[in-house]
Amino acid sequence: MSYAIEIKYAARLLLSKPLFSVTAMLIVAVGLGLTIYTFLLLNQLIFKPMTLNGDTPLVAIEGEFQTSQGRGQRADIYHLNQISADSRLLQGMSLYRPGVQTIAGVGELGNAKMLSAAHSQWNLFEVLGVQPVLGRGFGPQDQDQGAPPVSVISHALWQKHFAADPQIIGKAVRIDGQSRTIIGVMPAGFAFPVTAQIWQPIPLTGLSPSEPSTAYADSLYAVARLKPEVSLAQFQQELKHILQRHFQALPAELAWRAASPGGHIRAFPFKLSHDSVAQHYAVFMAMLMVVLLILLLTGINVGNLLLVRVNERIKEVAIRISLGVPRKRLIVQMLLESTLICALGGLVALALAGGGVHLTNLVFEEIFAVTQQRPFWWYVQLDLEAILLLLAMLVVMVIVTGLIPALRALSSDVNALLRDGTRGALSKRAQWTNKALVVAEISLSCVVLSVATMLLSTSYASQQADYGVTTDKRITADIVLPSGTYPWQAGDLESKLKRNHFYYRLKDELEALPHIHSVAYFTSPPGTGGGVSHFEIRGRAAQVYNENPQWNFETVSRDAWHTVGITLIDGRSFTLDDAAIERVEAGEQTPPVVINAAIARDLFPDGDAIGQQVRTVTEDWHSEWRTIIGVVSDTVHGPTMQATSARHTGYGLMDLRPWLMTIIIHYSGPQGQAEAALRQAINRIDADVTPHNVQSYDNLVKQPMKLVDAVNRIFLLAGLVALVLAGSGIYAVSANTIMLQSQEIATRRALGARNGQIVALFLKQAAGQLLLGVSAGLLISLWLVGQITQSIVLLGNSYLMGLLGIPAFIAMLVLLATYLPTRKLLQDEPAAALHQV
Amino acid sequence: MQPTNNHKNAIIELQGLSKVFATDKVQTHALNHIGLRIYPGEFVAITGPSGCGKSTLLSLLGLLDAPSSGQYRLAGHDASSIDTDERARIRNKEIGFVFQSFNLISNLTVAENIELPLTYRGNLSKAERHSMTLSALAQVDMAHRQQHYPAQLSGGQQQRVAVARAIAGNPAIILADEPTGNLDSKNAEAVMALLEQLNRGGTTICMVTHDSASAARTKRIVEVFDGQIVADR
Repeated sequence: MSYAIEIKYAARLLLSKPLFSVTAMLIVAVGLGLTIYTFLLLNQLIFKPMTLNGDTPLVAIEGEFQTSQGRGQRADIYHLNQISADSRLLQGMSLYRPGVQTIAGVGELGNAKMLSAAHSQWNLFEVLGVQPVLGRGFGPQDQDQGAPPVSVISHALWQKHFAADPQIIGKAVRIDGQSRTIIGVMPAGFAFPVTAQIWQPIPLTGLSPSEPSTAYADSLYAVARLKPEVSLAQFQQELKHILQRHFQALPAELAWRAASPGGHIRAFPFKLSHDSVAQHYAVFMAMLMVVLLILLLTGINVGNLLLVRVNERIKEVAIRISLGVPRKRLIVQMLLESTLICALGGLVALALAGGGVHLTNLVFEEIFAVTQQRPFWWYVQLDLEAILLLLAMLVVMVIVTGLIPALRALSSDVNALLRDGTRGALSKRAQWTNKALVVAEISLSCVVLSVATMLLSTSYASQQADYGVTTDKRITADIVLPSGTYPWQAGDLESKLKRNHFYYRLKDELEALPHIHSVAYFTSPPGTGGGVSHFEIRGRAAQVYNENPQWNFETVSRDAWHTVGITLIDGRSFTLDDAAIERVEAGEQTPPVVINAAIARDLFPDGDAIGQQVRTVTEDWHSEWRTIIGVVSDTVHGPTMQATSARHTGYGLMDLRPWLMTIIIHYSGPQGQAEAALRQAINRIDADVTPHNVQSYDNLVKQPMKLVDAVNRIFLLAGLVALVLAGSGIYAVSANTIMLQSQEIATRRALGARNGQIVALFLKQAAGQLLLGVSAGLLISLWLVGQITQSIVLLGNSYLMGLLGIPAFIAMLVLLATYLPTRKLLQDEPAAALHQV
Repeated sequence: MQPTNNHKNAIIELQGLSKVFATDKVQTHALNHIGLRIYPGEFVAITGPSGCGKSTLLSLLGLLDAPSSGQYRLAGHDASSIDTDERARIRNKEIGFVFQSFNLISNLTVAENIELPLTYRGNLSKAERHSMTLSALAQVDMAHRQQHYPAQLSGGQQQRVAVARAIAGNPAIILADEPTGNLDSKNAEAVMALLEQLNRGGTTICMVTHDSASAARTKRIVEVFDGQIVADR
């Protein structure tokens, strides 16, 4: 049997109704395009296991994820070594820690440049299955004590800063103030664990502890490769057993490790180890859910459009059946129509997804332009998996959207249709189907729009939030001191003095310039940082450490407040006397702390904060007591939308703990002039020091929200698509339902119903569907919001807009979609519908 | 709008009534200068071949469509130029419709279908509506089926329900459009007998039919051909 005539007929039908055809095709294109794009994004960023050059997935092995800090913790090397020794399911495992280093003589103005670094066990490249393209990787001898310091550099660093010098191997470079020999260049695109530009081995002495430790220095991250045919779940089970066995032998003071709720050490897909993914995992999942709902909406809409078409052509179908067309051929004809629509829509969807991918890569460029922290696998591209998924979805869509209308046509009473020729009243089943379609459209659009609105308004509010500081005409930069010449060794007085000397000299030199008003240092300026820990008030300690109040602790330089517009509202600020490190370390004076107004208000409501003593506490550690000497105006650290956002902050004095500091410069004149002044001043003092992430304070505050913002833009797109789909879908279903009830409407009018009564009748029916759809939609939205709030703090107004504003908007849409076709029908005289032949 | 005394005897009076359908560039004269009077108690059959305009005439008589020109008085009201709500009110109060395909509303029970036009009046209590519904059902001998849905009834039963719906509100006239057209001979006979019985009770009936046997059972036959009345006997 030749189907050429059917193909010709289907094409002719589509061409005869161009508006219908283009609408249906665009709905398919937008729905599938958005789905494919989201699949590509989530698959490549999160779901697709990282394998690099191996066949089996790489897994991360880390300590607990601390929600209050927004990141996973490093794990005790002692336990990691036990896992490596005991596991039978791992091919290999390597330990590492990310860090920063400076490389001299390659930056602008001869400044040093900050590099993302990875310090690792010698076998890192072996486990990852990636070897240098030039030179060699590390060998066991490179970690031996006294071994010559060596480094491997990234392809990008080699090309950009060494002009792809083929003779680079064996050359000495000044890194972190020390000379190191470059022994290898890694392949292009490789930057494990995230953005590393340089790798160097950790000395063996730091890799083989003989007993468990709580010291941060004795902890690392691990990456491991599973053996073939081993699933992550199997390894997680093995890990649990290994740890249970070893934790039993722990000394009493570390016994809490066995009782950690989420597991003291966890294994999970490597891509999830990235903070951005871990912090926003629930948001990504919500995005996936939303897009799946949109796919469902797309299917419903296209199916509904084709149903409308069948209703319009029902008599023609009846004639074909009466002429003896086989059922199979009729179904094929219906399928051909949906095939043509879906195939064209699929092609456009592919183009849309491709465009989305291109835009996403541009957005990533923008997001990470300053920090250069784009993970090396965050490059999205169209791949075979996505195309296969598109084909599979097209097949399902063709079958669903073609078969349902075909079955509807075949189930019609052909005899009745041919006898009286009317479109007839709706059967009970058809009525229920139409009502269910409208309810489904309402609930799905309610979910998508509510969630999108809540996320967008939260993100907007977070950007507009008052962080308690003035950001205008302020630039910020991370000051990276090379660890070789400015070693950081806890308690080492010389190191602290040297660091302090640099910081305050830089401050003095900059403040001497006419266009620089003032300079301050913060470990994290307000608006950034965040993450909280518990602190104890002397004499008011809780029985269990985690029942104490929480704060965020930062350190600041002397004379810092006015640079960022913070005001001292009680007590005093830090003075030179407070910076007497020797006296503090000798225990002759307690270190001072300044708290913000929120702590004073909430915890010292009687105004007796000054003079009280506080200290940070964890389950197995506490800091020294600090004396509250002052109260400053309210500040907020960390974006208000993130779970790590802190309203309670205590500020210690930088001089006592001068670690990695962010400089803030209040300037007048052009921003570029201030940035140049900073670079020149640093270069004058020490060319090995480098300013990193030089940017305006405004930009710094927005930085952590840029990724969420980009995700929100996808939500906005999804919301708009849902709006168009829902609007057109609800209108189409309503119009179709009303058209199919035209005879009933005419009968009611013949019996004396006024137009207003008919409109009221349909609006009442729509209100019932609306109530059902919105209720279901809100229930799903609340569930989704529950998932999202594990990652993001949704602000009060967002709930109002999402859970009240959107349902109100949808109600208006639905009532309008009911009113318009009803009014259109009522413009005709009832006789027309009563005599539809 | 007040009834005028000049025409108080005629329920329906048409003068020079025309209806023109315009589609694209073609104008079809469905009715051309029709003149007709129908008096209380009459049982009038409007007959003619298919496409002659008899159904269009019935639609105009029932205020289901508006004439292109001419005068139309219904129960003393000038019905030629009134707004849609007023036409709905007149239809509800003065006219009872019986359609060829019954036009019962499928998701309403028999009783609800009959009560439907009464609910549109707005001035009847629930008890009054119920009483009028039962009375109409009794007249067509369908009281025992009042809780059934239309789909559960035979064609003849559905048409009896439709007749009950038409008479429930005590209209001035019943307009029936091919009331036996979808029925077998036995049910058609039953429906015709019912209409005759109603007419004997004083109900004015105007029926469109192309069935000469049905037409012969009426008191007056109006023949329409090409949009004009060609005979009235």
